[in-house]
Amino acid sequence: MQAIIQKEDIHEIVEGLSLDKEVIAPVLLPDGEALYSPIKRSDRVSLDSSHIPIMSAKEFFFGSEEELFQFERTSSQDIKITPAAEPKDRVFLGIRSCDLKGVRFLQNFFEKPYNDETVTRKIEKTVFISLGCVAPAEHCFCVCCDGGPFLVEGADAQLVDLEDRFFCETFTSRGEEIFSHHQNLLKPAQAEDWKKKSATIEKVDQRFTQRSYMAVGVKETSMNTVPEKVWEVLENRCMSCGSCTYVCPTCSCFNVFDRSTPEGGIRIRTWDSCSYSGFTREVSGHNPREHTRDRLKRRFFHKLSYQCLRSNGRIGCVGCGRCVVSCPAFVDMSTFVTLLRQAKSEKTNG
Amino acid sequence: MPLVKINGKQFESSWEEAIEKASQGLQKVVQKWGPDSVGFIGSTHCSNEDNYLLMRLARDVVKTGNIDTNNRLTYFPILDAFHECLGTGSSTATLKQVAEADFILVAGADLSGTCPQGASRILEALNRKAELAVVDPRATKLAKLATYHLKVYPSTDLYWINGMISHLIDEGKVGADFIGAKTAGYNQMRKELAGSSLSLAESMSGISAELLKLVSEHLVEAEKAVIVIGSGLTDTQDIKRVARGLINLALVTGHVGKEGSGILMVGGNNNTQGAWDMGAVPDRLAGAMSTNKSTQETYGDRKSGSLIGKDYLGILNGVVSGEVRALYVMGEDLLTFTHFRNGLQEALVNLELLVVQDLFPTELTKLASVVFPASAPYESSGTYANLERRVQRFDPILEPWRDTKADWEILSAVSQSMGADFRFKNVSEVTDDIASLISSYRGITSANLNKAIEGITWPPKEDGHPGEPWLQDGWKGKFSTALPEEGDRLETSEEYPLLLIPGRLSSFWDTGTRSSRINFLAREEIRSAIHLNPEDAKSSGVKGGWRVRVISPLGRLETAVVITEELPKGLAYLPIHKIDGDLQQLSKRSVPVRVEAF
Repeated sequence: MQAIIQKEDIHEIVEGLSLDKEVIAPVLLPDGEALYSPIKRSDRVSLDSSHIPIMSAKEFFFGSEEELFQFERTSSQDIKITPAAEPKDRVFLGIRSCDLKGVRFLQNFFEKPYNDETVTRKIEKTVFISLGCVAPAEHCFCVCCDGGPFLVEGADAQLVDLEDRFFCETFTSRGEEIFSHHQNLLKPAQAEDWKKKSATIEKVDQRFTQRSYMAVGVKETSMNTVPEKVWEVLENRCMSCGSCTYVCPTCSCFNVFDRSTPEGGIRIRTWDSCSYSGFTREVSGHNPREHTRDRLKRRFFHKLSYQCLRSNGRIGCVGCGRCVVSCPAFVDMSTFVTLLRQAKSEKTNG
Repeated sequence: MPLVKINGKQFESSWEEAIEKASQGLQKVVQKWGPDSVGFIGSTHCSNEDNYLLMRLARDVVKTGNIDTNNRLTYFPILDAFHECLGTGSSTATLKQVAEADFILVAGADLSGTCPQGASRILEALNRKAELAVVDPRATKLAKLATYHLKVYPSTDLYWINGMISHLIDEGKVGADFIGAKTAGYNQMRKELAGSSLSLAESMSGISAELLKLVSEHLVEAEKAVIVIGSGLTDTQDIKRVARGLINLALVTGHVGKEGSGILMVGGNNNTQGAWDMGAVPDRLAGAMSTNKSTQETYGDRKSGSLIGKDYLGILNGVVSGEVRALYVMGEDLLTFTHFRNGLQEALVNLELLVVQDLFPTELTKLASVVFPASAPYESSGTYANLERRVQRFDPILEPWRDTKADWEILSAVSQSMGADFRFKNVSEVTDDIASLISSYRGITSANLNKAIEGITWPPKEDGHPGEPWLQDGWKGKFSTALPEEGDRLETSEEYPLLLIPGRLSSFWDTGTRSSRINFLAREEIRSAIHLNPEDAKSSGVKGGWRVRVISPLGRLETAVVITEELPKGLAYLPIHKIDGDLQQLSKRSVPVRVEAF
């Protein structure tokens, strides 16, 4: 289906959806930043693509801290295990292309070879209505990572901002179902709308100021030819704070521990980070990735190398640019690729 | 629940009972022994409002000047030096100035570990091709990125500082116009530095004269330059003297009171600046007001207590000697912060009254007559003043944990119960009271802070003004005496071949009352360990991971070994977050040691 919705009519759709589903959408905070948030009232939704939410959509599927199951000793022989509650039906409205690519990346990771249902069930029970980005942020480089700014698959529906109205297209039957209840608000897309949509897509490309030539990164990490000098600079900058991994839509390192309760305990999973030395330290005290340099190598190798690209089905960066914004030390993906290109050109030039 | 001690044992009590017990205990001691028999320890972790009300309890209610924080041993002397030499007890620039500088001199600060925001601004400047000089004995991350790494021998800072100044004077490279217009005392300082030279600097500090010459010239020639002082300088010698030396260097090179220039102190705590501003100090009143007659009037009748009280060590010494009979401590575990150990624990037990406010049970709360459970910063609100003297408001994100109260609330209740004439219903009223009393905070009201998301840099020019990033016209700098003294340079010997320097790890904060409870942080680094260069470990006959004994002329401790190439040969590094032993003064001062395997 392709149709036109007036911007103000989105509210009515959201109100309708909120009746029986949890709706997640970008909201604007008082300081001007945006954040994906569960919403109850439609007036909080901000479908303005110039504000990219601070955090990715990751936390709604792979929680920063989430319960996996509860256990209780019922007798000296038996332990009763109660799995975490079944997730609710959700609609994720206004998810950016890059973030949805990130969710699909996580889905692939958590599905095979063992299906981790605490993550995958949440993804399966969510209908994704993505928002094409007509105003990319300064640090965005999804165009270099097959991360956006528009989708042709992977979402259930997509909205493209045509200034006063949205061009709405559905890719799946679930997407169609969402809009089928609101036929009165939809108008068939006319030739002029199609034209405007194509022109918008074409124009947006020029608005990306940041170009990260990811092919260089893929090649150098795959061949293990990243100059040591690059690692040295990055190592001395990196403060191992882990913020790049927390904001990254595709990072999935986690830690598992038990929290005791009077009856037994709760098994909890939290985000962890390959930036931390404690993440890989073994019980003996040996740490295969003791130095910051080893950890950075691991991180960029895992994002870019062919070996990982093959098992993940795509490169591990969607170009959302959040690491560029959050890193206090200029150790982000864009800088990495830029440093590689500089090192290469220095080598060529003498 | 609060705890009160009855017949030597602590029992849970109601808030009313605990407040009554604390206030009656204080009154009893004041009546019997006078106001100066009471000591107050504030905290540079706590908010402006908390420290302000502790100050008022001490000065307005009990009427004593015995109030200080443990930052007396580290950062307060630097702020005192700023106050005396530059007329403002604070950094004279903001972090934005650091990012915009052409030349940055970092002395004794491992900013990547202790102040990431500061390190970030330096990296930003480096990306703009600024030059960076790092003075540090260790090859820290920042030192490795620096244009110049000046590998200084600890305790010799005044030699290199004065070497640089006298070189610039001798070469006629100082900014004469600037010195004439903006400073006083230049000729006196020049005379005093007659004995300084680059060659003396080289022989004492280990930094080559050539490098000192180069760095001093680049510093003076830079259009915009910033000097950053960190905790490394607080380890040795007389801290205030070293700070004065660096202020002399900033003045002689003309890098104060201009855009993109200034001198910054990076303290170890979130509210070092604020606690100092609020008057949690024994020798000045709030807002750095002097203790002269006219300000006495502001503070009411002072006949009953001393205006200039005992400082941090003075209070602790008083506890040991019996002169201080009641101690009120907010947010500090005196017993884990081991610069002062001998006899303190026994003396604390013998106090007539020990009141402690803290977030968690500590070694100190175990000894207290009254323990008030304080709520955490994320459960309360208030303001902090950061290293740029920018006052920012914080708000709760969690409900207070069980039966806890904010520090300011507890202090307000204790003061009330002792008959104080002030009463605060909420934290905003305290913020506003601060704005009405302290001239540099005038305009920093809760209403204005609510409108200013990024905070207000003191002093704002007028109501609603965000504050100025650097010292404005009208300031005057003062050169002061800052000479090295006999015995400043700490020497090692055959018996004690390593110089142990205290320091910090990025994953912990102070005594670890909070940070060591966070699994992710606690697992990153070993909280208690001595760091050694591989060669020194070998010659001491120890290996990484071993438990060892560290022995100094002052005492001994047992700890684990971490091997690191960041340290030069001859130096050992000891994080201060947890010290298992009794090396008196070790946690705050460098000391020669030897390391032995068990």
